[in-house]
Amino acid sequence: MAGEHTDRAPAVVARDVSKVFKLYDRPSGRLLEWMTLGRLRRHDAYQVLEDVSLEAAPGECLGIIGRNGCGKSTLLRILSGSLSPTSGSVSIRGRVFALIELSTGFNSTLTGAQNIGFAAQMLGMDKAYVRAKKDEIIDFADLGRYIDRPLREYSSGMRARLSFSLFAFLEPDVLMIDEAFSVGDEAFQRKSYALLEQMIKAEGRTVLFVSHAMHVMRRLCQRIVWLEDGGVRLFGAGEEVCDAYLQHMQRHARPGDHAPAIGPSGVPLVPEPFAEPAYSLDGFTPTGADPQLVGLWIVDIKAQVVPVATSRAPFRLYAAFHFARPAPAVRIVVCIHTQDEWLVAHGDTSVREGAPPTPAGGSVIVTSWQVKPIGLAPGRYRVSVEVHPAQGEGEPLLVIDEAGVLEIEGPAVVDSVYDGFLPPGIVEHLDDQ
Amino acid sequence: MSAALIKYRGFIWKRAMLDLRVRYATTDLGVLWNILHPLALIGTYTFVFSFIMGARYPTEGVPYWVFICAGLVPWMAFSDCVASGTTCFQVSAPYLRKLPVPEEVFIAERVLSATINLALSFAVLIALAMIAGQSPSWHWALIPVVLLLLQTLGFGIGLGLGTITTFFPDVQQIVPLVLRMAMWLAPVLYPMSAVPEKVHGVVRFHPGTPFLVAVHELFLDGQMPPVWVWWAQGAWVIGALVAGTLVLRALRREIRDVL
Repeated sequence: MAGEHTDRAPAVVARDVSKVFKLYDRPSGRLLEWMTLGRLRRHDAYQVLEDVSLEAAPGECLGIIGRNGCGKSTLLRILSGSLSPTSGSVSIRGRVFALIELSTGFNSTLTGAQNIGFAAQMLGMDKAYVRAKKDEIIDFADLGRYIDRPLREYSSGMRARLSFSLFAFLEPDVLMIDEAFSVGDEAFQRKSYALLEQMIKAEGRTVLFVSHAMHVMRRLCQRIVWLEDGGVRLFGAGEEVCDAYLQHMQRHARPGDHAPAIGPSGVPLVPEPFAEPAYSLDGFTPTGADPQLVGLWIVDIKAQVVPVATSRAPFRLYAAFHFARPAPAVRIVVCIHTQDEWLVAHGDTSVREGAPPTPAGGSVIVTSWQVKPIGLAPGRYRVSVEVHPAQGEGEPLLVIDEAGVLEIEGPAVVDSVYDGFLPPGIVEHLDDQ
Repeated sequence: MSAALIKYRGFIWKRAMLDLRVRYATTDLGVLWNILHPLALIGTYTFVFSFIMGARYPTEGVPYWVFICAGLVPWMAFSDCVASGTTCFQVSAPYLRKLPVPEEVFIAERVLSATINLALSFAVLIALAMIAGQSPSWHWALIPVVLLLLQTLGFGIGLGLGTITTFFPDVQQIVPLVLRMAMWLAPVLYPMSAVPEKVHGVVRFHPGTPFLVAVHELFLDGQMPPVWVWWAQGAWVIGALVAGTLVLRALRREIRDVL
């Protein structure tokens, strides 16, 4: 297309999109309404979206954030065309794909390779085009011999790799991604972010991105829409909306979310045996790195260090970092991933009010993170930690993908509105002994 | 409507083929079951009608089992279209919820898979009939036209019923019932000539009748069906397509809200 790069008309425009679901007690209620031409009202109107307007330009990544139940997924379904709005309009220029759930439209009896052709045709692509792209897709998904095994043998991480590769390589003008992305191993995630960045910046495609992973949103999205109760609460530059959102979350967290664990003396409690971290950290912290992760503990509701958390009560994760040399202000990030690589919880010290921690040389910074076990099923989780400069986009000071294993025991408590937010409680500076 | 069917033709074809293969994928006989099911049913009807009840319908020298097959095979394909069209949107909900693929594509896929089955079964039937002594006629060339018209009727009805069932799940229970009754009211297991003259008018208004009469005339008697048969087929097909399309168009926006 000539003039592709000079043409800055938005690729996605939504104008006053509202969605109302009609809820009937029983199906015959609808029939009654029809027969009386609507004079007899038998439904409750449930408004999910109200006058949402947004636009995204070619070459832009637009983020959509908000608590679960705020209408993000409904909005994405409407934008992708799989749901019609009750009022308002949506216009999209070019080909749009929406990766709304893992393995969208895959067939579990077909192999990975066969599914590529199958799913692509479902997306309305023609055969010859798909055949030309197939090798690239298989290369990127990097599933080894599994590509020729039926899909039912795939883990959710593998399905995610296949579907992301497929959706990305079929050259959509607009790609919508809902969450799905946090699945897949670390290396694949990084590769995928790089590919997304290339699609956005070099190829001028538009990406709509829904995620709870704020650190990813921060990095990818130029602009972010913050949805609350079905309406747009804030629409602006990525960083700005992220900060506002996290601060809001911090302030409006449910009671008890981030009350620091207080010891008997009223002093914020730091678990005692610093010298003995709950996990062997050998081999995790790169030798010679500064800072070093010196400890990671699970602390239960009675302020005891325990080896295994319980799903019956909230608990805290403590992570301690030793800084040999003074460092500029830092931002510390802790993430909890499932074994099949879903990012289920994420915390970031930058959401705290006040100055970011600024480590002196030879100091230890202890962070504590409130974990609501509700929403985290019993099982084993991987904990990753990151230390970044608080300002700017500098190289991270420390990234440890497998800082420890978090094991949760007890009954499964499922809370569908768990937002995966880990409120940072205290950040304590301790001088080296 | 037709634009969507053309755009997704590759998908429709692939899903239909997959349906035939996957339905019995874990069985030893696999694809053969597609043929074995109708064969078993035909065997049962033939046994009951010719041996137990000793039916003596005027089938004009054609073996009774050939006659039964000529009606049953198309009827079963047609009722498969209607029955699976009715549940189609519920069954395809995982796709409909997440993909902007138009609804009719999934109905078309069901109809196509039933039609492929029909083509195979009818081909087997023709081969068996010739072995049994049926002499081929150039009129046979028109059989595919009639069968396709019948399946198009199934598509139209499927569009309408599939849409309505989404909102009123009771329909899903009613349809198989009606289909079973409808089979006995149409000249499937008996020829039109066995129907008493005074109820001819009623049987003729059965949507399946013109198609079945056409197949009987073309296949068994090797002669051109009467003119009313062609008019009736056309009217039913166009009527069903128009009605189905209108129902889907009126309710399309809400289908995915309730899935």
